[in-house]
Amino acid sequence: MKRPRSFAIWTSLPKSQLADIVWREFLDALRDRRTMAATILLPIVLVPLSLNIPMFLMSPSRNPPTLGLLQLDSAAGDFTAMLREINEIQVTGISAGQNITELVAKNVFDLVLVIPANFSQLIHSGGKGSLIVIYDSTNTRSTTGVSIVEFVRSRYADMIVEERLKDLNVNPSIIEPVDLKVTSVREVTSTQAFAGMMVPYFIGIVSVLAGASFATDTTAGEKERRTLEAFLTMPVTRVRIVFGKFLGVLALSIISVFFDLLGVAIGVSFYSSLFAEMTMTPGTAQLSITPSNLIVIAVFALIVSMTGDAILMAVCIFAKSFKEAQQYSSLLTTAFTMPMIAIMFLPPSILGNLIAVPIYGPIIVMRDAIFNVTAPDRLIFCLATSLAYLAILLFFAIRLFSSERILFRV
Amino acid sequence: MEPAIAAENLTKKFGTFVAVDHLSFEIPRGVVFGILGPNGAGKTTFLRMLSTVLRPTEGTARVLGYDVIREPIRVRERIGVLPEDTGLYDRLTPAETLMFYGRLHGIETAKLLARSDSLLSLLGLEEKRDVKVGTLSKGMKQKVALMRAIMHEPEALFLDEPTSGLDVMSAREIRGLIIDLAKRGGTVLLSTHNLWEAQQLCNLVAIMNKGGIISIGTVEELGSMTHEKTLEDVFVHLVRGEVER
Repeated sequence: MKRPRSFAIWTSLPKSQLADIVWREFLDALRDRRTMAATILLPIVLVPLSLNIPMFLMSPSRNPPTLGLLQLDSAAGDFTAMLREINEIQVTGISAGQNITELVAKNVFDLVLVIPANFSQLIHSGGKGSLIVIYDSTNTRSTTGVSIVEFVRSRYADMIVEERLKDLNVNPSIIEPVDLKVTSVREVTSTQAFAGMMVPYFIGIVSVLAGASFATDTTAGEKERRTLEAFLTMPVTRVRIVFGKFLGVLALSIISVFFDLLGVAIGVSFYSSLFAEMTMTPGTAQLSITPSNLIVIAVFALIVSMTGDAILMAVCIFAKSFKEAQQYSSLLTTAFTMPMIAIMFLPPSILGNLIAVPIYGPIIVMRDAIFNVTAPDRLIFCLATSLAYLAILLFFAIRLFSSERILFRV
Repeated sequence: MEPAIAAENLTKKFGTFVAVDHLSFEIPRGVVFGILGPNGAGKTTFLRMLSTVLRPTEGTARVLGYDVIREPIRVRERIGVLPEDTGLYDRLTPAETLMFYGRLHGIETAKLLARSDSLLSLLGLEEKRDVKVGTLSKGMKQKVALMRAIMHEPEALFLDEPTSGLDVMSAREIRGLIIDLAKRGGTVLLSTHNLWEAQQLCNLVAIMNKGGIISIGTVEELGSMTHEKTLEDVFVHLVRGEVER
């Protein structure tokens, strides 16, 4: 008799109730189209898009601001030539007599630059020429355009100053008597700095968010669908049921995190130059992490998932209904993820004090690993405290699952 | 021979509400024992305690020689339970359902496959073996739940309203299976509202009300005690008498 593949996998599993519970959880989730869409399809489509659309929009080389140039001074060719050399802005000449404020307000141009008639004359006579920019402070491309114009103005001004000093036979260093040399104690590429700031928090947020739907479904969902009673009549201990469900939720969370990271990887590789532009270092979108630190990242990402899933499992077991579990888990995920965003910006001295905090400690260790500055004592302390929290949380989940007052409360 | 079920002061309280009130009785092996009673009489709570899903507040019970409080796993290994709700996973197929629960009972794969095939064929579900349970009719789901309960060839079967809401043919098939199991020496505990069904199937019946057993015996014994002809009349006589008291 021909049997389906899922069935064949089941028969090949080791003889273990734990394996059976995990596989059942797995099959159930795999066959739920909405769950699979949220776990696999959305991350590999939505994450690259959400990563690249803002970068694309913010990148002046991909999406240059449009500048309307009203040149009333025909002698200002050296300045306009300098401006037109910049690829990150699209310059179009406009004629006098137009309402330039309206041109910007109606988005015909992102900004308008006016070069007054006496601009060159004032400069060449040793005076100060003024440029006029009309822009829209609510338009990102417009503000980017202003920065580019300011960059060109600064270069042009430097050039004029240099010429004037030369005419006066004065050394240019007279106007810049102090220099600044900056040396970092840790050598990281800007991509590494960006990844160190984003990836651990991304893993943390995704782990907690992904676990929420699976934990809700396997606990409160099972109560609500009334499948739990039949399950409880099987010769399986409550400890094993909780462990099986926990491992099932964990496996699904890991898959979810994997696809989210895959989404990030696709997103970054698709527009690596955009990524480099955003990190202000074109051509250096490289991430170099040692193999041992990669292992540290993987282990602590697993710990974040395990801790998040154990907290969610305990809370969802406690919930009376699926709706209540959803409310608890969304409250918890918000409570966990909001501070994650805040601690992205904390200085290392404060981060060191958070190493014993569940979920956040492993995130800080992952950050260290991305920067290749893992401290063994900090790592061991974080590992020990995280495992202790995990044991307490699982013990708590088992106690809740063993309490019929909680299990059967409706 | 030790009775199939022996309860001693078996009590279950939910807060101040007493769902099952100090039940003490024995059920011999190899009988179909009917538990009858109005809604809220405590039938389901009683079955849940015997199947070790709920822990008694006071007293205890032994099922097939094992204590429901101290040896719940031993009890569960030997019983089959069909709860009021089928409790099936909608996204598993009938074959996978039997595989899952059969493996939890520790049945060897080859035996499990053979047993699963024979049960699916016996209950006419071979063609639905690989269809998701969620798409099956209520009667088919009830059959799958019953297969799950008897998959491991239990010595005792606890059935809570097994034919409720089923069409005539499905109900008849399920009754046939209960009779078969009893003939093979198994003990069946049947909680039902269907008094005709109880009269047809049960060797012994207990009538429960307000958490206690108000009468226990064969249908004939209860009939002669109450001077009523049918089990339905016996039931009305006893429950009404209890209410009036």
